[in-house]
Amino acid sequence: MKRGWIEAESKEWVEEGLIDQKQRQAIVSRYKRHSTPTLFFFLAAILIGLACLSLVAANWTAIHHLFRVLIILGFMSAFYFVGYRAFIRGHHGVGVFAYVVALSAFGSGIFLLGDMYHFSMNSTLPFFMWGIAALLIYLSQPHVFIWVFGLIVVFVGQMLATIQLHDFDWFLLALFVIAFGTTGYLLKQKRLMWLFTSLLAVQLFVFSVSELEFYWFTIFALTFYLVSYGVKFDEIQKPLQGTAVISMFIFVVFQALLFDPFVYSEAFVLQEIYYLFLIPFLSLVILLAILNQEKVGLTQLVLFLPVFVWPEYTTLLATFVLFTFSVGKMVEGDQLYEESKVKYGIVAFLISIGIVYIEMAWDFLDRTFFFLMGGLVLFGVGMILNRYQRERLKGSDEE
Amino acid sequence: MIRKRFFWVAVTLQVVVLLFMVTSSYMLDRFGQVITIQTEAFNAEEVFYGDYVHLSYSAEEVRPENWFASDEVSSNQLIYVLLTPDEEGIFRLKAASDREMSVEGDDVMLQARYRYQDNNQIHQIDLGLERYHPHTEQQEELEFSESRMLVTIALSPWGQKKIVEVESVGVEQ
Repeated sequence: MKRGWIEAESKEWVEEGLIDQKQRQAIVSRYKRHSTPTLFFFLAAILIGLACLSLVAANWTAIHHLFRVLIILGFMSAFYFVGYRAFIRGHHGVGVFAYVVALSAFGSGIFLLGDMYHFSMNSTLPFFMWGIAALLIYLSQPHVFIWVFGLIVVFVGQMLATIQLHDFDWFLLALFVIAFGTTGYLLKQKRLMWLFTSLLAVQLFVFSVSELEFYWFTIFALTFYLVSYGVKFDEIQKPLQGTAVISMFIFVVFQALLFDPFVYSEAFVLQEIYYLFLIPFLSLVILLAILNQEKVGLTQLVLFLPVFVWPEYTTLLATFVLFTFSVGKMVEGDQLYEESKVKYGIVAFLISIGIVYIEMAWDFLDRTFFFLMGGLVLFGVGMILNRYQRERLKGSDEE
Repeated sequence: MIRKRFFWVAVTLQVVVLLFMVTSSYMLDRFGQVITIQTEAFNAEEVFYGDYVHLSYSAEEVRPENWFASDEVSSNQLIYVLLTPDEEGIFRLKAASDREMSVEGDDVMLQARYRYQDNNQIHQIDLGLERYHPHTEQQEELEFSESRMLVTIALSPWGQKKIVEVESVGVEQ
């Protein structure tokens, strides 16, 4: 994409006499042509893996039991062999493809044999074994696709355990965090860390809802935020903090939209022990943010405030939190000259306005009044920013 | 070099897991204790899901008089079920509790998972044996029968269990 664009653009530059042909070639050669055969191999592997899984449903009952076992074992070993040979010869795409197919064969093999021999399968052990297998294969050939495969296997296992069996599995969580967390940490790739942290956040949310009370999720998000101060690497710190903030944003949005005081005020009991976690964690985060000199960035911490403490005011408080957060993001972006932060702030702001429009059930506060107040506050913020910017410009002129 | 070792460990482990599943099944047939339990009376249309049958056992409904759990049990908690044979040799529920119970005479103990308590104060539990894939010729037989099923299950001393056979019997009016 980039290379195609630079090729077309630089042709015009040569014609206009800005650069000569030699310079053009030098510029173009800086943009390497990205080839993505590995991606195709990976997608092919997924399709074949799916075919493999759908064998469960296929007309499979006519074959003798022991022969089926041989088919599964043979299929799996054959692909491991192919992958192994491919890696020795340096065909990494083919190798990863073969390994992913073999891993799928192993997983479907467990379930096929379980069905065949009528085992009771009410446990997460198959997913645990499957995840371990993927991890070991990853360690033998550290290729990100194998890591992602294992990560998703463990995640799906956990979801099934919590939602279907109503039993959060600590072993799967340990495998996810310790094994895949450590290997992911060593990989130091931002996108993979985003995948890891968001899948972990989903697991912890489901855990909070099914085993504790929903609001305990805020503690887990705070933990993410705290841990993010402990890592130096940007590739890991950003996803950790980002996941904490985004998940809390979604959490507050849902509270603004769905929190029904009439349903909750009776059934809702806030455990006191919650404060025992919230207060130290939140103070620690604020302290670290101040020590880090995040002036305006501090406003994003409003997301972690427990708006559900007063059920009657929850939706209102949640809306205030959302507005403070989005305005804070915009101001922060403006101060740091980070366009992207301003954009996120605008998106968050629009979402917040949308919520106020849908959620108009406050009898004690008029919507018109709310919007008017909001408008005036924003106007004030704009004025202050404008003056601040002018002073800054003046300051730089004098230097 | 160490990577190569990881690979071989991984592959061997996977082969061993799959082979273990196969052998443990045959071991169950050979060394396991075989008992017969009964399902609820069923309507063929309700229990067939594609190619498998959903079995709900009489022993999965525990009346208050057979319930010996200490206090509130949560969903999916481990429940011990004591079964005792009747005159026909079919095992019926004697007691269920969240603690282990002493096994006397011909009684056998199974592990189950707690589900919920229904409106009639009956505790629903799950023996974990609800799926059964019948053979092709058996499928037709089960599809057209409106009755109870007698399910033969094998229990191993190490807590594994599996369905050995399913046959349908007429309901005594």
